[in-house]
Amino acid sequence: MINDSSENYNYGDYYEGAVEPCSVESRQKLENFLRLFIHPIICVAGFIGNSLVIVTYALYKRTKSMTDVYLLNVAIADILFVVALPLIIYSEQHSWAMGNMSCKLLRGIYSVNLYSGMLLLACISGDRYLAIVQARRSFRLRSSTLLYSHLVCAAVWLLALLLSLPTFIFYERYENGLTESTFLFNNNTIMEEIQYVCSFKFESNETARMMKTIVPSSQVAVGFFLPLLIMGFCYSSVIVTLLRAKNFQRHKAVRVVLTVVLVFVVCHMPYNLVLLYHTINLFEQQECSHEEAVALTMTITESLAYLHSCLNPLLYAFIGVNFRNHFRKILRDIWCLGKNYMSARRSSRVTTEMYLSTRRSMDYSNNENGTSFTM
Amino acid sequence: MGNIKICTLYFIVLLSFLVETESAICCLRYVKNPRRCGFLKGYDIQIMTEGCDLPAIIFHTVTGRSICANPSQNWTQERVLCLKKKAETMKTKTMSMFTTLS
Repeated sequence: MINDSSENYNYGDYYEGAVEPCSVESRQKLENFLRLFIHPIICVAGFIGNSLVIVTYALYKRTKSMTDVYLLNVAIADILFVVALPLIIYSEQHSWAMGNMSCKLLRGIYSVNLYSGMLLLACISGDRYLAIVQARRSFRLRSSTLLYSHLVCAAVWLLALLLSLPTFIFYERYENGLTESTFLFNNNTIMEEIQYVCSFKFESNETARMMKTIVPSSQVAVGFFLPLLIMGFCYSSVIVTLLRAKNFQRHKAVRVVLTVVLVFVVCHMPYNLVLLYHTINLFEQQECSHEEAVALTMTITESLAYLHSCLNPLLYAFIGVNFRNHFRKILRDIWCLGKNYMSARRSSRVTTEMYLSTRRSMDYSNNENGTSFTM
Repeated sequence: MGNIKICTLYFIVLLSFLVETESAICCLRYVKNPRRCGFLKGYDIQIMTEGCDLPAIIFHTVTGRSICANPSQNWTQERVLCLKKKAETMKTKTMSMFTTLS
């Protein structure tokens, strides 16, 4: 019997100003909803769309131009993403039972595809800039050095891999929960089942502080703002050039370009701004309600960013006349469509190809040399 | 009918995903006023090297609540020492009790 007078006091006033660890319940509910209903749709649509792009290039179209090489690589990056995402979600539900290597690999692939996907979109805008704004000057360069686009793609993937090294290195599968627990009355403690997580794990506070700042900062800087700057400059120049053209189809082309940029901004800017805000406030004390609002917003905007993976095939690949022609060949071969179908489509094809028709007569000897950006 | 079966199967597969998601429960702020040692019964250490972004000592109270404390403050370290002394005292008493029985 402990006769300690210091223990005889009123508990009431001690709850004033009490600071407890933050609850994550509301965020978990939202995450469960997104993973159950939204992410599967994105993954399935992205898988189908990007698979069609890859199959079309592999079987029928080949890569005849720089843009085609970039488009194929974007499709590969997106399809790897929509395959990795459900595996990550599954692993999180099952304590990463597949082990530490799957933790590093899946998180790393996720990161590589994030960077490569965004940078390749910037390359596409650069190629369109060369094709349209610098049309005469770049024609020989573009048609005779397909090798350059392969080199650029290799450089992009290599850069994405380098930027993802911290993820491969520091992501670990480890037991969830606080360490060095010290409870005096063990009989009151209920032993809970061990849960494993896959997350950053560092050896020192200095490394933790540095990496927790550098990794999201480089993701925002190189994974969003750099592509945004490149796309902004290139597509602005493209629009200016198109508006100067006398072709009556120029407005349609301008709308296509504006749509591409607008969708990119709408899908990716919200998440990157929230991530930037969160990174700036890292290591600062803050209210639970504030952190909860930031976490919720990040979860929602992240799903919006995922959406871009299944919009890319529509925005870039299927918008090109030549790509649609080759895709129709696949459909015709599979479904044995007759000539009547092609005849019915002929008028719309002529209409959509009237843009750049004068340019084509100067630059290309036949239709097969046209690229997928022909609108 | 086939569509209903496919949708049902799809839904069942998705339900298997509906488990708790992993999120760290972290201290984001520190309590300002010290707590008495008699009010506390244990503590955890929150480190920066994993999912949380703030180092903290999490005291557990006799009423089952948790309190986030700043490790760099003197009163926090004093309470940790006090709790360790409590554990030591409990150890001594337990040993002497078993000695008496034998």
